[in-house]
Amino acid sequence: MESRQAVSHKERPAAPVGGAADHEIALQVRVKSGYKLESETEMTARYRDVLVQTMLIAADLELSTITMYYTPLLMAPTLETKMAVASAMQDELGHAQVMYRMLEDFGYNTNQLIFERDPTEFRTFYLTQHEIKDYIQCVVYMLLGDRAGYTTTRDLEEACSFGPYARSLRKVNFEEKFHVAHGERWTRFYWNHSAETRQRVQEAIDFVFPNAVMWFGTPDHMKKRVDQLTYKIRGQSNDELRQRWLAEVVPFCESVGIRVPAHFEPALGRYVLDYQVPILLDEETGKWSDTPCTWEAQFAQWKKGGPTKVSGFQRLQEDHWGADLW
Amino acid sequence: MKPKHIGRAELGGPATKFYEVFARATSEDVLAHVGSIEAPNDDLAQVRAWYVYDQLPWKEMCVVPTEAFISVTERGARGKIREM
Amino acid sequence: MTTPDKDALGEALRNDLLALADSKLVLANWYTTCVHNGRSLPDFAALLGMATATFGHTRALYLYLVNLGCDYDGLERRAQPAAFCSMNLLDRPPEDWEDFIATVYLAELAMWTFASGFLGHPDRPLAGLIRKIGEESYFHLKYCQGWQSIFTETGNRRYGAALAARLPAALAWFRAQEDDLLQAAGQRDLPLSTLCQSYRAEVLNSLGGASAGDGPPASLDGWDPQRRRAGTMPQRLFEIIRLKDPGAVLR
Repeated sequence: MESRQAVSHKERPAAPVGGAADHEIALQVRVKSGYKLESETEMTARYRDVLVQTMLIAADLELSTITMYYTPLLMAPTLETKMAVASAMQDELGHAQVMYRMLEDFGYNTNQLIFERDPTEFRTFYLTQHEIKDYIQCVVYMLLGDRAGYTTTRDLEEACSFGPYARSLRKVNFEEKFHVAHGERWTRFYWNHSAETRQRVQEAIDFVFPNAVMWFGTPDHMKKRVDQLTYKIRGQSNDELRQRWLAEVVPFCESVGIRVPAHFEPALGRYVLDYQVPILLDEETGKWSDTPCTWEAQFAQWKKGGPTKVSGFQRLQEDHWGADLW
Repeated sequence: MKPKHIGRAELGGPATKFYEVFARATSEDVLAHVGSIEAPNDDLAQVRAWYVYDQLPWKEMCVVPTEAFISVTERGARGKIREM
Repeated sequence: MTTPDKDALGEALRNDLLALADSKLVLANWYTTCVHNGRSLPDFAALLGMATATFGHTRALYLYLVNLGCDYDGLERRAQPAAFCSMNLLDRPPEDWEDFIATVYLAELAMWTFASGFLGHPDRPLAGLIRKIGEESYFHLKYCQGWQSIFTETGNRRYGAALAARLPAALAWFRAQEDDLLQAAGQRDLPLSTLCQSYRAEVLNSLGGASAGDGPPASLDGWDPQRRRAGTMPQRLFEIIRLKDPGAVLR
């Protein structure tokens, strides 16, 4: 979850001394051996901070789905698909509820976080800062994007050293599994449905895939902040999670016949991308560049954010009635 | 803009409180804690719990004001139930 | 008393169920269109949950209407607003949260009262479908009641005014033709007029006697008894409720 995409994330530089340092090390050793914390009283300030920031980003990401999936809800071609999108959104907002509720125990107020926070201070990833155009793109987002989220939340459920958070993710992962399965089922359907829908699926894959790759953040060798792993808030590194995601989506896409810019490299024993990261998205055309950019340029694009980065949360703080509706 | 809320109240409404949600899917299951919900009254607590914790088609669900809980193991602790 | 003609009965049932299904379609779109206006995070989930259920009611009713000679795809993809039979109550968008809750309450209760007339229908699948709709509508009505309590406790006069302004259109929806054929033939448990009276009493009771009355009756101009509405659905509302993207239809 922790990533360079969270550009506004300001972790406290922790400099424990003396007994405090011993306390930090003791906690790190305990969680490494599998110990689960059950209460805030067991935490060091640094642990608490890393945990809270992780939960805040996860909660904001879940909330951002109300904007992401809204256009597909309006554009859905049948009643059945409208129900599928509305139901998936209901699930995601339920997940947001579970996560913000957890933050209440750390002194946050959900209403203040959602309705009074400056909309520029919500923290999401570039993947979630784009409006999904229609139902076909929506099922591809479920296939790749929900799968990326599911990869992250599964890791948290399996590994997180804060017991209440790990347990709360059972419900989340139980439901995310259905979203991913829905994405797989209907992506396959549209791929085989007609030449036109096949083309739409491929276009959606081309748009979403590089963005979902970036969901997992910078490569491990660039990461400077490792507290999430040190304190076992999560279990796997950015590259490990990305590899886990690739190992699930690439074989699926290949089995359907969908082209994805990644393959398994037997000599390395892992999946590799067919392009060099980082690459930039041209937001005007919706196309990714063919040539890599600098990481500075990539960070600048993430910092600026996609089209709905701010507007989506701003909308939740506004009332639109009467002629604004229809 | 939406109206502001004041402290522990939601938009356009009076003060809210937390409720704990319990449910069982079949008659063989124990009635288990499935989560927590904030609401300004019992009616909204029931409906919100029903739609937020709908991962299974529950045979039975009930909500209890969190403030009604008394911790036996954590002496003196405020009423609080941690997730599941 | 003469025995009602079988075709006329079939048509009457078809008309009533289509009016119910189309009204639910518009109501589901009210929930989705207003979801961002929710007053709290769990409201967002609740509004989407109610939307899902209400779209589901429409779909189940359209599927049932196939038994009565309708074409499902044809019902889903009607291309003209004049072809829809939704209640006039839902034509005009909500002006604020109080109006939203008042209208949703009136619509949910009207539809459930109307539908409950078929709980004893001799065709058991229809009776079963209506029972299922009732189980889900229970939560939708409870949601409205939760907000009503807040409005009552906080002395919110705007809510009562919105309810009184919308009530005539809701009552008009129950208008029966001269004879309630379905009731006479044992297909509706109670006459529509009785259902309407019980509806009105329940709405006024919900205001705790603080009602300003239910206003003048809605105009009968252009009333189409088959579609249970006057005039045509507003074009801008039709643009919201019509199903789009025909290239992605799942068949």
